[in-house]
Amino acid sequence: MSAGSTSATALQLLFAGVGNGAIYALIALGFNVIFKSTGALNFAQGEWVMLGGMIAAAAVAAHADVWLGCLVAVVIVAAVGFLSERLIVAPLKRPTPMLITLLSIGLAISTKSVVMLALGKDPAGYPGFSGDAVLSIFGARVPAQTLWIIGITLAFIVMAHAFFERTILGKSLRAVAADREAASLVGINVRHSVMWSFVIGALAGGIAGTIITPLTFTSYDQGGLIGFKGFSAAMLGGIGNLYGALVGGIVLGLLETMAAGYISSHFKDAVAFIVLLTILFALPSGLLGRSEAERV
Amino acid sequence: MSETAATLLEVRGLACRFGGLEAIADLDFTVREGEIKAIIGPNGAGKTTLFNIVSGVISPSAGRIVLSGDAIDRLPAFQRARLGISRTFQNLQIFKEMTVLENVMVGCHTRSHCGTLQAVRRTSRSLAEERDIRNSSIELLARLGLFDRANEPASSLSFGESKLLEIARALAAAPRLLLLDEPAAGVSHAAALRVGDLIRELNEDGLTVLLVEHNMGLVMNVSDSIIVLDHGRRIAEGPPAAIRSDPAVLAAYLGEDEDA
Amino acid sequence: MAEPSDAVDPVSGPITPAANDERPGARIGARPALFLFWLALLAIPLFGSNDYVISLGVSFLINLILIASLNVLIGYCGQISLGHAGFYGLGAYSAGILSAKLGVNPWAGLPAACVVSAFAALVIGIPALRLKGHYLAMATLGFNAILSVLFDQLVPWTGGPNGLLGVRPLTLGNFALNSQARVFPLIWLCAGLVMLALLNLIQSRIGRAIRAIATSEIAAASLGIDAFRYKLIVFVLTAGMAGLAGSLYVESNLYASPESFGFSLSILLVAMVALGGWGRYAGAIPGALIYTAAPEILRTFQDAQLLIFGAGMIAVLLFFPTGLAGAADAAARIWQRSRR
Repeated sequence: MSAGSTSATALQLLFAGVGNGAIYALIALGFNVIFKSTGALNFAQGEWVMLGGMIAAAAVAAHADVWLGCLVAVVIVAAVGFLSERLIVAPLKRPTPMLITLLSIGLAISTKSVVMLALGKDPAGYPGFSGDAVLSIFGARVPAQTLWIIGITLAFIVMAHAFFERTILGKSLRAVAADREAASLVGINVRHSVMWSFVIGALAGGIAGTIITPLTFTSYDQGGLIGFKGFSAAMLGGIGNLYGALVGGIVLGLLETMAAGYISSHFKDAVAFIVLLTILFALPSGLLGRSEAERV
Repeated sequence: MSETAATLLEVRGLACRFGGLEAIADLDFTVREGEIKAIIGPNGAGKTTLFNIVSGVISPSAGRIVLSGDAIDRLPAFQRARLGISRTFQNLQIFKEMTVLENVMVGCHTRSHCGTLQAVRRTSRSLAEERDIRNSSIELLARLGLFDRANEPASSLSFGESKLLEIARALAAAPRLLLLDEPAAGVSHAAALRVGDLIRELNEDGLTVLLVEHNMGLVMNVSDSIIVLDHGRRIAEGPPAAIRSDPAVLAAYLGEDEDA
Repeated sequence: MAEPSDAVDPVSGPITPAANDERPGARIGARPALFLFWLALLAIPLFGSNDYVISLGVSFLINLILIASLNVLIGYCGQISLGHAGFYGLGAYSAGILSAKLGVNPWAGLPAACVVSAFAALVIGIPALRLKGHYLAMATLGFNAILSVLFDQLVPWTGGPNGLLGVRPLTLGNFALNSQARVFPLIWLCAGLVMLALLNLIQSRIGRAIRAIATSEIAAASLGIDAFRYKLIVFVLTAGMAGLAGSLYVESNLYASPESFGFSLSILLVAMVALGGWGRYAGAIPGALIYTAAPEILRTFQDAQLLIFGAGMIAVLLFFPTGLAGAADAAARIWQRSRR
């Protein structure tokens, strides 16, 4: 094999890894925002990703243009996130992390089954933003959609950063995440913050779903796996840490793609599981975290 | 309690920082066996933090804690409890989903030794231990005046009754040193008096008590010695009469009022 | 002096008993109730019209072991495990492989399955339970997923996606337990022992300690209770029970395949625990009943089954935190009050 083609393969894997990693970063971000505001693990996160892809596919099948279909899907998923919070968290007298985690499991099961009943079991997909174009970058074959994914994710991260640093709502969310009692003492409506964190989480999930589907297709039962990988990315970066989500996502994406490319594609899915278990046991605070997951 | 009583608890050079805040700085004190010692001070003086450090809930940044000559600062909370330290909580940590009696029975946990396998097989020994635990717990409830509420859910108790329940539960562990975190806070005057009587009774039976309290009447009445903390440092220590008239103490309390 | 009535009943579980919890004198104690119920279950093979009904009974009993053990972990110990199906599968494959591939006497598979699953729980539990927060949920999910991959890929041992074949049935001398009716009594016995063991555990001081830990670890520690140790004990014990269920499954079906033990089953089991009433001992029974009967009842609406479980779980957690068992309890109380 010539040196040119191994480096081309490596570059190809790099792009694929970063592309997948961007998706995991978005999902991890959604996890983190909800975790920070409720202390709970949101099992519906992956279903929101799946929902984004499925709705966009349905819209495109109904002759909408791809951009419109994705936009509609993202709006609907954000609304679902909002409704989920109003339905399962707001009524709780004592919103303990355990209870919310269990409820999110029920929510995940329900969302998955509603999609199955409403949109069927068949895999669904649609063309990317640049159709099915594939670019050649220094010999590596990179789908245009991958570049869209990386671009959109970066844009989202930048906007999220601006949101949390510059807007009042964003800063109040951070305050609640840091110290609920202190935040409510200075007049921040904690319950509202939880609602917003669900909307943001669903938004991130919906966007992730709509932009990855052209490459991977999606179906009603894909939510669990991708949600889990997003969680692994979140733990890898340090749960609750927004920039950790980005780092964790990219690293996981790269590890996965490298393992699939250089070792075996059979065990590709297992990478995320192994990463999670390794992190939990060796470095629970993650790469960037500050001992959120304390050892007892 | 004689002047030459042995030292039960000793704290040396204790310090605790939270981020930039120094909650406790260079604190030394001892508690002698059989004495009732009170810790007082304005809000934020570090009193509950001190309890949390001694009982093992949080780790200090520096310092030593010695119980009857053994260093305990490396031990986790549950092991310190087994060595004889029991406590109540300022923000009430009763087991709401259990009955009043069960709460106290949990306190008796370390008194029996049957393991999980014996529990699962329901051996006669585990049943006998269970009977003992139950009887001891009923006695404690009766002593604290909660006998009538024994089978009711702990969540149905009033605030004052819940405080008594926590004390009963802490006593069930047969401690040598009892840490009482604001036992009279938020209760009626009559109830506070009863708490004072209770503390004296327990002390007469040989229990050493360390208490954090804002109710000065109770503190002055019951304590053998008082430590005053302000901003995490000890500013005075001595018998009630001395503390009552100590200018540094008055300044710490009044000074706080002036700033308010 | 009046004695407090002898009705301190941890079997009603730690979740919000009614404020004025009446203990009606005619209330049946948990132990006799369990005994009667268990005797009644023998009606299934005696009067069951065909093998199919009996096989439902076998499934119910195996599901009961799974759900009751998970209920104790979640409801009493406050730990969410999403790997229960994994321990189930580990037990099934351990027993199956011993019998089919290694030619060992199938009876050895039962204890072997318990030990393998318990040991796996020990390995996962020691690091995972040291972490504060609900990381056990994700750690067990990951563990279950890895196991699924292994069940699928280790073809020489597990038979891969096509499943494990050649499991030999249990035999008593020349009498082979190779039909549903024949294997029923064994499963009935094992499930009964598991339910009894769990009841004894909850009613003991260990059970109290576990409930204390679930409510306030800080308070429990202040009373000398080693929270980590007990969480680990319960986790290992319940995983061993799931392993036992697995060995019973493989010996009654003489077959095992990876898709029966995936993490979606783990998630469903959690839903069943919530539906039945987490933290109520009797909650495992409606939970197991629903899980076993639902596919049969919903035959034509198979697809809606998941939605009913999910929505039901949410409804129960929001409005009936004590689950179906608690609702039945409340109904019984109302009935008894109206009779006075």
